[in-house]
Order: sequence, then structure tokens, then C-alpha cells
Amino acid sequence: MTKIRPAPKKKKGIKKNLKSIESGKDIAKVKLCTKNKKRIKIVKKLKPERKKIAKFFSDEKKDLDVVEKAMTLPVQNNNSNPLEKLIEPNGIRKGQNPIIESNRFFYDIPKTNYFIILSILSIIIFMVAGYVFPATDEDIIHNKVIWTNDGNYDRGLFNQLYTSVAFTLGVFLLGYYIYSTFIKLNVKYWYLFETGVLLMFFFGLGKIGELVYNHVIFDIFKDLVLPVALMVLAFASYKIYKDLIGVI
Amino acid sequence: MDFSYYYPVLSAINFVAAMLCVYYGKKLYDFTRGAADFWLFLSVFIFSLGGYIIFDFVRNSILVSFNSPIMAAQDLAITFAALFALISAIYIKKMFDDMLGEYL
Repeated sequence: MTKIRPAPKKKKGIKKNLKSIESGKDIAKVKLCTKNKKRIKIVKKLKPERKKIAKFFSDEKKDLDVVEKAMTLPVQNNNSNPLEKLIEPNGIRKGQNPIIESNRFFYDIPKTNYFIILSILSIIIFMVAGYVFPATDEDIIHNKVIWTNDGNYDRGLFNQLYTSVAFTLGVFLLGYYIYSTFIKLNVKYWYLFETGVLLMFFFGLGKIGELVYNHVIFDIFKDLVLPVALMVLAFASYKIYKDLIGVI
Repeated sequence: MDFSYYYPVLSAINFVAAMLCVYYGKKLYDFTRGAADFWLFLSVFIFSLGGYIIFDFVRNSILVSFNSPIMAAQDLAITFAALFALISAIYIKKMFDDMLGEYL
């Protein structure tokens, strides 16, 4: 009896063809084939497939190269974190010195130290005003200042004095840190906010002055400065907000 | 000129300005999704000032007879304002230290 061998299955797919070509089995068969036409036909059929395979592998290699290159690069600063937007309206980037490399319009502001200079000046003027406008007898009689007729202090008004001093110091510290961060980095519209804080510092000095020096003069000064300070702060907040959301 | 005549008008201006500050401060806090805490403390600082202004207005305009308690409330409001100003200052410094500490 003769054994029936199953016919060899036709190899399908690009990779299988390539394997068979590379192994040399099919090439050997082709060589053995006596008919030249058949051989040419097979070679012609395989040519585009080989090209496709080569192209596929080269593309894959290119993709891998791109991914590897991206992995090695330092992480770029994207604006996904809203915190970073606060310091980046003018194009400041991490890894750069924003003070040296910035070329913005209000660049001269950080050089002036105007907050510190104005604060010290206002404290000097405040102390001089103590000699020019001391507490009047009327203020002492009506219990408007901390002094009393017998040369002692009115203990009830000390609460106000303490809180006024604390407020003034707190506002000064706030202004100083805004100056040393936002203003030094020249973030848009923060100079307005800083002006408002400076006016609030003047208000604090006026509040101390009305308890120690001439009550009427410092009270009027304080009452006039406070609305201006609050309006400047409100306007600055509005401008900063609009700048942050990108409307202006 | 009796300055106290203009006092209610000034107080009203102060109050509106303070509320605007609080409104935009809160908006900024919401916009940063709570990431920048100093906006919150800055808003509370202004809000404390707004409280001080309200007490001042009430003391001078309506409740002159309750002078001492309202003055104490004013003192408290201004103390809180000082405290929140201090906290927001610390938060500003902290935020910038976290972001670009080596350059400040």
C-alpha cells in the first residue's frame, strides 16, 4: 500500500515568506526548478513583500528611537498645574533664571526697592509727626489717646494699640513677601496689589497714631487712606484674576 | 468741616471695596483649585478688614451706647486680619520656595 502524504501547506503571510527566503529552502527549490519563467515569477512576487517587511521594520525602529529620545530629554514645563500659571504670564520657565533672562516692560521695578524705601520713610515721617502733632488736652480729657492727665496710661486703650501694632507688622510682612516674590519676578499687576498693601500699612500707622498722637489728624488720615487702599486692592485683584484667566 | 458727616459714605465705600476684594480673592482661589492657599488667607485677611469696617460703621452710626463691646469686636477683627496677613505672607514665601526656591 502506498502512503498518502498530505500536501505541504502553502505558507501565508509576509513573515513566513521572509523566513523561507532567508532559510534558503525555497531559493534552493527555485534553483532546482528547470523552468526559468516560473523562477522569475516567484522572485517578482516576493520582491514587493520583502520591501514591505524592510519598510515595516525601519518604521518600527524610527518609532522606538523617538520614544527613547523623548525619555532621555528633560521634562518640559507644561501649564497643567495652575500654580505655575501664577508665575508664568510673561514666559518664565523652570530651570531658567527669570530675573536675568526676562526682558519685560516693567523690568526696572525690582531694582528700585520702592516698598522698603517707602515703608522706612513712612515710619520716619510717622515718628516726626509725633513731635509736630502731639496728643492735645482735649484728646486726653475725652479718653481718645492712651495717655492720661496724671502722666500714666489708659489701660483700656492698650488693646487697640497692641492690635494696631500687630496689624501693621503683619501687613508689612505681607507686603515684604509680595515684594520679594511677585514683584521681583515681575509678575503682571502685582505692583498694584503691592501699592494697596503699602497703603494698608499707612492705615496701620495712622491707627497707631490716633491712639498716641493727635487723635483728630491721624483719624482723618486713617479714614481717608483705608478706602483708597481697599479700592486699589480690589482693582488689583480684578486685574490679576483677569490676567490669570487670560481675558486681558 | 465735620469729618464725621462723611463717615457713613466712607464706610460704605470701604465695605463695597472689601467685598470686591473677597469676591476676586475667592475666585482666584477657586481658579487655582485650592493649589495656592495664600489666596484663601488673603481673602480672609480682607474679610477681617471688612468686619472691622462694619463694626466701625455700626459703632459710629447706630450703636453709640454699646461702644466698648463693639470696640472689642473691632480689636478682634483687626487681630485676625494681622494673623491672616502673616499666614498669607508665609504661604506666599512657601509657594515660591517650592516652585523656584533656588532663584529667590
